[in-house]
Amino acid sequence: MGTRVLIAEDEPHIVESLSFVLDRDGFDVTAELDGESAFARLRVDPPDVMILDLMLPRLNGFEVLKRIKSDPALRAIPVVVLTAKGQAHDRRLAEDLGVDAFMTKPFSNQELVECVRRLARK
Amino acid sequence: MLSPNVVLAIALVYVALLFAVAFIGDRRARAGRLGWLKSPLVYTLSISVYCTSWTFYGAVGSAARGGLEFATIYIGPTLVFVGWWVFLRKVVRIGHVHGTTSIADMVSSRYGKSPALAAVVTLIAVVAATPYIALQLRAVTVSAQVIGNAAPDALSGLPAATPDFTLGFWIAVGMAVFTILFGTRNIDAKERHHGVVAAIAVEAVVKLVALLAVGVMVVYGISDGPADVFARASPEILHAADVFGPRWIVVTALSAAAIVCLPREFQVTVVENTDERHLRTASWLFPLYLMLISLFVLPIAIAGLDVLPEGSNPDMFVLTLPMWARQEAIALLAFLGGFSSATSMVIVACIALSTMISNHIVMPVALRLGWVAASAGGEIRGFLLASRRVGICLMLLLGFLYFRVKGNSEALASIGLISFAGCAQVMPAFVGGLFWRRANGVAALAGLSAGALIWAYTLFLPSFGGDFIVTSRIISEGLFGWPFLRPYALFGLDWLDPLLHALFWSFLANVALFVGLSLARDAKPLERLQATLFVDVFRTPGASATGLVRRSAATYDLNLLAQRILGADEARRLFREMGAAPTVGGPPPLADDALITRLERKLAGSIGAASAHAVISQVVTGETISLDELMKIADETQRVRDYSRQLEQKSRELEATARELGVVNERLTRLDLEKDDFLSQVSHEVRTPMTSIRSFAEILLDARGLDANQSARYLRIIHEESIRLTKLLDSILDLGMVEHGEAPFTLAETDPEAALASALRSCEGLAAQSGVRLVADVGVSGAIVRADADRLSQVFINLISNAIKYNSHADPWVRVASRATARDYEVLVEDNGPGVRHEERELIFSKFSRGWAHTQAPTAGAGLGLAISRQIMRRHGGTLALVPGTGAGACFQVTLPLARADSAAA
Amino acid sequence: MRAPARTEVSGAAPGAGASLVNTPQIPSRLRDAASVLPLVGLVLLMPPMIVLFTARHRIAGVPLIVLYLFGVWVALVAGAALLARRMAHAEQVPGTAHDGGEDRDADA
Repeated sequence: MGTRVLIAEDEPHIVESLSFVLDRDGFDVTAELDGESAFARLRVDPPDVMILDLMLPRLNGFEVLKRIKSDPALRAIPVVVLTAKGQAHDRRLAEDLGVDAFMTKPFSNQELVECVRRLARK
Repeated sequence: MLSPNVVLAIALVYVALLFAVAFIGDRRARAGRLGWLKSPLVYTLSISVYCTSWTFYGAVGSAARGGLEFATIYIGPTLVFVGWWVFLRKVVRIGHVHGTTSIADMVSSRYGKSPALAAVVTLIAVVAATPYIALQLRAVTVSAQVIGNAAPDALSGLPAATPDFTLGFWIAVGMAVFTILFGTRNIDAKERHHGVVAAIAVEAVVKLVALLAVGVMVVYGISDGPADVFARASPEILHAADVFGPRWIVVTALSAAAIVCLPREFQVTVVENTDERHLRTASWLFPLYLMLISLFVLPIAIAGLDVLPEGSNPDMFVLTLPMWARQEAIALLAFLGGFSSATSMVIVACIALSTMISNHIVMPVALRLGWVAASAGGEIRGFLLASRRVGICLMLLLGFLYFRVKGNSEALASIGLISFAGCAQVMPAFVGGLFWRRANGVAALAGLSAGALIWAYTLFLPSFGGDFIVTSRIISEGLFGWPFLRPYALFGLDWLDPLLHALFWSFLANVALFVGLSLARDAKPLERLQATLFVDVFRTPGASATGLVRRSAATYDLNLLAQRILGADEARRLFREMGAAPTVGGPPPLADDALITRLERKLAGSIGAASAHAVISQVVTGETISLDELMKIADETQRVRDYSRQLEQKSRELEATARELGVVNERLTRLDLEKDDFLSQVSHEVRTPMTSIRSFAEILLDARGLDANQSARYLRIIHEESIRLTKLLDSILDLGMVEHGEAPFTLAETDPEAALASALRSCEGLAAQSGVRLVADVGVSGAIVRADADRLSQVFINLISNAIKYNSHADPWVRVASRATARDYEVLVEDNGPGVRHEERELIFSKFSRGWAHTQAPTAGAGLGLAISRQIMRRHGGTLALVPGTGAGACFQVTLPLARADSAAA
Repeated sequence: MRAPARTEVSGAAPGAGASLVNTPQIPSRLRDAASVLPLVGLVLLMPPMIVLFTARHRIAGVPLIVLYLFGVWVALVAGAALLARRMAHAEQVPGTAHDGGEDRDADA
């Protein structure tokens, strides 16, 4: 069974491309389009790695991250944060919350896959 | 009726009581237990020495003759005290700072410590006070005769054919003894006469109580209440036609001047003042005292005219009315009240005048003649005390002689005002000196002398009725037989009453010379220094005045001088305080100006500023006043004043500027935050499509595990996202242009309904595609607005397409309605979608808002549409707002003012 | 509350020596009132104002002019007493003179 990746991203096109790239490299990908459903899915079916967009409808990425990192059962799940804003203070905030990796859109597919793979090994 | 012996006995007991009070007061003061002696009440009561027997008996007499005019004598002082802040406060402060001993001292000190000025003021005061003292002696003598039945007809209140001059003489002697005992214990005039002040405070209470007692007796004993009293009044008393004419004004002004310029008033108000704050209490308490003194004057006068025999002397009503009513206790009290008011005036006047005579006449003469050369041996102190005692005796002797010579003359009746007019001649120089820096000594001397001479010629001397210097021939025909020099009609001015006539000419000359010469002539350095110290007494720090005068003296000489004037003990103490105790052996050290100035001030407290300056000058070498320094402190006070004014102005301006800056700063901060926010939003909105584009492009480049269908689909996505990106950039540019007013708007009279119809047509396709029912409820005819039709369309399209795109209802509809009110054209765009959350109602109009992100709409816009639409509406002078709709969905309202309201019809 | 800020500024300024020497604790409003009071008395007690009250009219048997004259007199005494009390208060408790309570009293 491959490494399971959960994508939380509201842009359907980005979900589509990420799914394709990760699937091609043997990951087992599921996706949610908003924060709330992503967190719900996470609790029911914890993935090996999570890819989290910061600007999500209904429950924003920071909130999701905070919940994951403050939940003892979920804390171990590595999280890659994606942001389109790329501001330093977003990055700092995410790091304070305990994020494992931080990528600014647009990103290279190759880098993302390597990042996910590295996190999955930990 | 009381027998003369009983009256005499009671008077003696009363006098003994006064001695006791003065003695105890002095003892307590010496022991340093001032207590009540230092209270503002005692201070105020001592000021009431203003109310002499001229008030006690004379006010009623004046009221009987001239109605309410008597009140002017008390209204003037009332106004001066109520206005203490303006004038008296300054006088008292200067008195404290400069150790002033008398009015003459203050005037001379102001004008460069001029001995001539001090002497002239003293002379005027002595001349003016002599008849006034005589008046008191006469009042006491006659009242004693009246109450003791010595008069032929006691009730008429007329004196016997001759007043009892023997009695008068012994009264004068008694007063002299009292005054010398308690008034000349020490030569330092600044050392207060606490004993005397205590005694006159008691007398002040006695005279007030006595007058009130007589008043109450008249109103409620003889008459039946105030209404009854006034019912007896003759109309002339109450409604004398010309009471409130020029005389009312002039006499009020005169009495206002008198309360400051009379030597005895200056003595109790300024010299005897121990605490400036007492003035604050006196500012209302003294006017209250005057009011109470005046309260029953009119009723007593009315009753006296009514019940006493025709031809009775109104000046004795206060005494004869209780006698008529057989109220012997009240009569006796009235007698003691009159006695009190007379004695307190005489005592204080004699103290003040003897100080002035010894300091300003005897001392300068003695110095000039070498009797008390500062360098020679001998005691000046003893000489001074002796001269004061002689001065007191002299004043009483002059008063008695005047009384003896003119005892029967009715001229005494008006002597109070004549005396006031004489003292008031000091007023221009005095007031001018306190407020006008340019006023100088020569001008003051000239004005004062001219005013006094004219006063003497036109008012004082003629009051003797032709018996003294000015003969009756001069009065009727003029000096040297020249009619234009008639004393009562100078230069033919014969229609004013003598008082106003004299005041007019004397003040004309006085003020004209004072002002004219002050303007024409520059002051001497010492005068300028003193002028600055006086005028700016509240502003000039005392320290800045020292170091101004360059002079030096041997400490030994100064010490000798101080010993001779102050006495050995006092001088030793003073020098020890100043840290200049004489050293044994070695050359005598030189005293600097600071020490000399201190000593001079101390001596001035004993012998007056002019004399102190004179004796100090005898031992001092090389006195020069540095003009530069003088200019500097004069400048400095001016500068301080200007500076504080500027500072206040500036601080006000600064405050306003700071407030404005605060507002601007707030706005800038907000704008800056908005800008950051905007940029970050733009970045986000650009990066999102870029991410898809890059990602799919990389997938296509890699081409592993990619089929043809997928390739085609991914290329299409890349294409779509590029278009989205382009649109986004267009929108941003558009918004920028609309916001900054750069977008080309062609405002013209447009039918908004046409723009709406065109928008509806554009959206029909989208609606059909999304399966949304588009309901148009439009059809306003003839509404004309000033608008850019294309821009208006853009707004409508944006609203309608939003409503279609974000409608997630199972059976979606969008309703568009238009209407015209009296002033506006309105369009409503309503849908049955999820609506806008309450907290996002305003937010959705901001840039890049994701107001309906929660709707999970499949197509995301740039989030700029509503922001642009709102800007467009603003440019049109209209509004775009979210309003409550009929259901849960969103409802937007567009409002535009009608260009021609009249043609609108719904 | 415009006055407090201004008074504080002028009081705290080092160069404002003039007002420091000049009894700074007493608010300018009191000082100005103390200067105006005698002028008010002057206007009320001098012609032409006082002539207005010379009509031969009596209230409770007392001529109007007598009532007027002594009424103004008493009012002046009361005004001066009130100012004196305020000043004493302002001196003893520096700062309270600036508070709102004082303003209210004076306006009432």
